[in-house]
Amino acid sequence: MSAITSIYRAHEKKFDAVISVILGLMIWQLVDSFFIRNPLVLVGPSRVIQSFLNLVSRGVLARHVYATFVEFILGYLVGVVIGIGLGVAMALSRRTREILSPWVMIWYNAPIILLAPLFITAFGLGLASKVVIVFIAAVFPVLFNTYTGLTTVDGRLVEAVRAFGGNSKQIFFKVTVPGALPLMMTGLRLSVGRALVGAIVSEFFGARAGIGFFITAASEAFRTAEALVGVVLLAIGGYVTFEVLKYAERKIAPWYEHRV
Amino acid sequence: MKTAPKKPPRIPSGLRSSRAIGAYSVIAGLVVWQLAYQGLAWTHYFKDYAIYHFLSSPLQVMQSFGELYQSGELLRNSYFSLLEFVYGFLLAIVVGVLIGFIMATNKKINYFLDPWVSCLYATPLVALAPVIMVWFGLGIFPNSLVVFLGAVFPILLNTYTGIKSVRQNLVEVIRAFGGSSTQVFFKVMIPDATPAIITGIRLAVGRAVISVVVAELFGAEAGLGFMVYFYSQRFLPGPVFVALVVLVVFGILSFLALEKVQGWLSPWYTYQLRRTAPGMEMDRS
Repeated sequence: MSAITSIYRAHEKKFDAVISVILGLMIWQLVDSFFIRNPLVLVGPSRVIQSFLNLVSRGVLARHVYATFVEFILGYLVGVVIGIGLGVAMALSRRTREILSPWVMIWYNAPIILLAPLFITAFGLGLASKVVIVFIAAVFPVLFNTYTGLTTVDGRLVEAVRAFGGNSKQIFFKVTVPGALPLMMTGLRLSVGRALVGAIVSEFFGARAGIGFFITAASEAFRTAEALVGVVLLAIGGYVTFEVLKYAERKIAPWYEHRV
Repeated sequence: MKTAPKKPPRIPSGLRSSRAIGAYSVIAGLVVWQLAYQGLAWTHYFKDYAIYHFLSSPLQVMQSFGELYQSGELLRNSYFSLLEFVYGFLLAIVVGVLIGFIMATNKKINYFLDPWVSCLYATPLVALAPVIMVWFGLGIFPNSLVVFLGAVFPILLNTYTGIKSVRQNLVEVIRAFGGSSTQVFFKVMIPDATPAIITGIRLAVGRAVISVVVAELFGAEAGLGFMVYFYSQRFLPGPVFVALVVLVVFGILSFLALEKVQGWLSPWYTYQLRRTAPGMEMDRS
């Protein structure tokens, strides 16, 4: 008994998380099977799993996941490269910063999603329109965090390198870039969420495949269980990417104190 | 970045300040946009590829702004969107701050809620919008719910971090001078966590605006998202850009307003914000 409690005490957080997830799913299932039995309104986990297995066995899901993944990864990678590039350019040159900063502010605050119908009219129902939207959604958090990271480097470190005779190239590569890395990683992580939202929502409007397309198609046919399968897949995808990037952040910049 | 002494500007006039250069840049961008549109309109691509179905020019946007304003459509739709935004957002602030505070102060509840919160935070919850339409139908309530879901987690997590990172030496000082725990709460915890909470609220504004629009694109009888959907279905890009401009202005204004609120609630913190360019928010979540 005491052995069990001591194990529990040692890993209290993990145990509690597992218990909480199991409890939550059980309550959801109980409400579904005893209180609200309308499959339109509430779909319990068992029915979600059932329809997931059904979809997998019919081979429907892979196509949608693949389509969203391709849109996401293409737009995201281009967004990261250009975001870092522009962030560095803005940090290095004052003139670039002055010219670009109002536009960046406008585009960052703009809900680009609104343009999704227009992009679909322009680039068609296929991949191109979604990649453009994902790109615009992903680029600005990366840009900001790169810029902020490069410009808010600890002045004492710069002085120390200079005091020991370091030149400005050394300062840039030995102090500024390492100092900016954690914030850049944060930018990469934040972009993931925005890019996923961009991909999903642009699929809502018009697509031939993709998780967003799948969710709307299912919920328009009142197949709530299938729509929830899509949402759960997204949750898993988002969570996994988030955790991987968080892990990468910790590896790349272990000295950085993380918030949230 | 460099600590070299600053040279005094050679021409100390307002015309060369960075703000003025920003303004020139915006004006130049708009002019280029207009000219490009005019140039395209001369070529046969314009007709062949029906470019006017998805591209508009600044002058056309201004024109459709005038039309929408005159007909009262713009105000009506903005009103509904604002209503949904306010309902959902206020609920998100109340719930987010409350649960964030509880999670930060109670270890057990934190352990139990943490897996759910971090999973839901990483999920693009707008994906739930179609399902919520099935559940609750059309109208203000389901749209506010989408806004709430979009906005609550950044607020919750930032409140949590804010309360967690309250400086312990301040708490100890109050304790040492015989302060009660209510005093610790109101005099230390709340003020010290305010900047983080407001940062969370600022992050949430962007997400909430997107949520409003997406929810309305799906199912609504009025609202800016509805307006966008209506006109883009008719291949009229002008009103779409009008809605975009309105939301950008709203986003920037609410950003500046929250910055003011932050300066007013926690003036000792604002000096850190000054270091970033105005309006350039960094998401440090």
